[in-house]
Amino acid sequence: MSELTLSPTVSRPARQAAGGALVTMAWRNLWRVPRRTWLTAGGVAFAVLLVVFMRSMHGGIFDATIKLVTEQMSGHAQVQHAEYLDDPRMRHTVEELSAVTGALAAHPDVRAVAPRGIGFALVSTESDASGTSFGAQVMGVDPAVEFATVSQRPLPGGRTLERTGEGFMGSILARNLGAEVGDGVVVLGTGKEGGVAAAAVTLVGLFESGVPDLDRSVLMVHFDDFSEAFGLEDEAHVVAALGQDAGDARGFATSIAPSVEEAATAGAAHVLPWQEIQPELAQLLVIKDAIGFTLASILTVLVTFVVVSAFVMTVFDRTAEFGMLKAIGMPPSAIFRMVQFEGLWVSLIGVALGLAAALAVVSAVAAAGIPVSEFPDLARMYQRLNLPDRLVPAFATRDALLIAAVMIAAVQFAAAVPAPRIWHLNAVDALRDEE
Amino acid sequence: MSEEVVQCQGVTRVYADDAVPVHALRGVDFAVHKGDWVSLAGPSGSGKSTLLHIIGGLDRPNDGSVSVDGEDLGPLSEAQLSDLRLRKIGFVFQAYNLIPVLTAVENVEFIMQLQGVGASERRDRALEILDRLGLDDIGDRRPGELSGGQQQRVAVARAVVTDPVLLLADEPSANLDTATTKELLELLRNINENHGVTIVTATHDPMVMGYAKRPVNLRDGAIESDAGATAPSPDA
Repeated sequence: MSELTLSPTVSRPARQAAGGALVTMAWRNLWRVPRRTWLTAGGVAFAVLLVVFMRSMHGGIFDATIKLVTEQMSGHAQVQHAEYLDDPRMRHTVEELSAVTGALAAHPDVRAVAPRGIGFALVSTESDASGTSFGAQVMGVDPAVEFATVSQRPLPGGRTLERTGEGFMGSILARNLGAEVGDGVVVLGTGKEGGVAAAAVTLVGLFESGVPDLDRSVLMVHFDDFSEAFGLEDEAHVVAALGQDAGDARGFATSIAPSVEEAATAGAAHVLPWQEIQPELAQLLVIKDAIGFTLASILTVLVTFVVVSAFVMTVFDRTAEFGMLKAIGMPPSAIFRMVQFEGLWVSLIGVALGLAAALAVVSAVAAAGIPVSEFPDLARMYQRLNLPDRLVPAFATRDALLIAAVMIAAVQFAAAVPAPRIWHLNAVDALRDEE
Repeated sequence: MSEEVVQCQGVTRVYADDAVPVHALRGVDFAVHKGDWVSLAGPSGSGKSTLLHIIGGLDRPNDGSVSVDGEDLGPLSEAQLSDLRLRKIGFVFQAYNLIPVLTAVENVEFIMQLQGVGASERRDRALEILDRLGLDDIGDRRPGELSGGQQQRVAVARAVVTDPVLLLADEPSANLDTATTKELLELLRNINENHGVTIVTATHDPMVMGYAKRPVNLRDGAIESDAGATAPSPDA
């Protein structure tokens, strides 16, 4: 044997040292029992896959529905008279309409602006000698804007509004009236100032919205016809505005509010996001999130139990090794950190696998789509709502990152559960166990 | 009198886990001087391993005091004891106890990593000591790929690479054959005689006792005979 050279080292606290070694040891330790590692990572991956896929399907279905419904009906936000939402009277109008619509049109976040007049009247057909009439909601719309974005599609044999003197009616209301495309329709109601509101239009098309109340009650006429009949002067009951994204309607409303306040009579006009105008629709999102949260919570708890079990086994299996590490001077905090790194590695493997699998599955399903025709009742509803004929998921990036973070945190927690055993391990007993 | 590396006074250890308390050590007075190689011997249950563990700060006496390199272990916290072991004591175990996921050279480096030695310096020193112990060709192998003798020599390299004040070896030859035991003991003798590393072994093995400078026999938790009690070893 050659001459030995021993030299003392200058030391610093062990808890501050060997971080890189701990990370390396943690990674290698994972592969001492590969089956356990794959099972643990597989549990994490499955949870991530399930949550991301479910949220992606929800995103594709709920969010698309909300997008279409808001664009067809409420807009992403509406300008209304301050009291109109709670008390939708004819006289609660947005005044200085030209200024308001002009200000909105000039706003960079606004994609489209649609003023609407809304009143109630009796409608009848000119050809009906018996004088049958029905109560209807008469909507005055600007066809150039309203039908350029979305709104209702006409049934075969008709078309949407294009100019003044035309009417576009819900199919049930038309059936009740016995009206057909080409018939003259008479509107008789009360104007804004209490006078008679009267108009005569020619029916150019019928629509089926999928919402029976709408199909039973709505007659759309040109906004100019409505203003003239109901006595509106540069005013509307609502001004619907479309932004870029229905999901950010509150931000959109906040963004356009200053322009509206500047253009309208002080304090008379309010900007409301669609969630306040259609709270029942907003509750769909709450339900979607609640379902997602519940599933994610259940899976997180299940995964946590699996990982706790795996790490308790790990610590028990390696009692003698931990005893040796303590004996040679490795502080319990460093041993604890090594186990936490093992948890971090296994969770990163699981999250990576889960995200990759989710991306692959969501992409595959998105490419093919799930045909709604497989579900006849749903298919009919989708057709009436002008929704796509295939269910297509949209990869939920935000949810994917969130569940990844939750899983990593859950595994860190699980890996910490056996920490007291590490901390209070008696090195002598641990080493004796092995002998 | 030469410098005392270990000083035990009235060390008593009673295990009270069972219904009948077990007196593992009964008021042991004992000192180890710098450069000594003390072999604690005795039958099973004589207290030799318990004494070794108490000297190493792995166990605490019920009564009495222990100091290592002038530092009283009694008042030290677990963290301070851990730090003391890291800085001053090298351990060699019966079952080798190398870290299974690290190669031989990484095992030797590990203590220095805990001490915060820079990467290049610790690698150089680890390779150097493996080379000098004749282990240069197995540096990149993990413990599972080494023979028992090779593992134990790597364990010795790990224990002495930081030049500890004291090397404690608990039944270091228990799992080795005669030839390998002889190699190991020659290695320990080299470390002890040429580098002044103080060694305390606990063993049943007469060959280990034969290599030690100072055999100490224990029986029933007390020192039965101590060859060096009145004649401390000379300084290295």
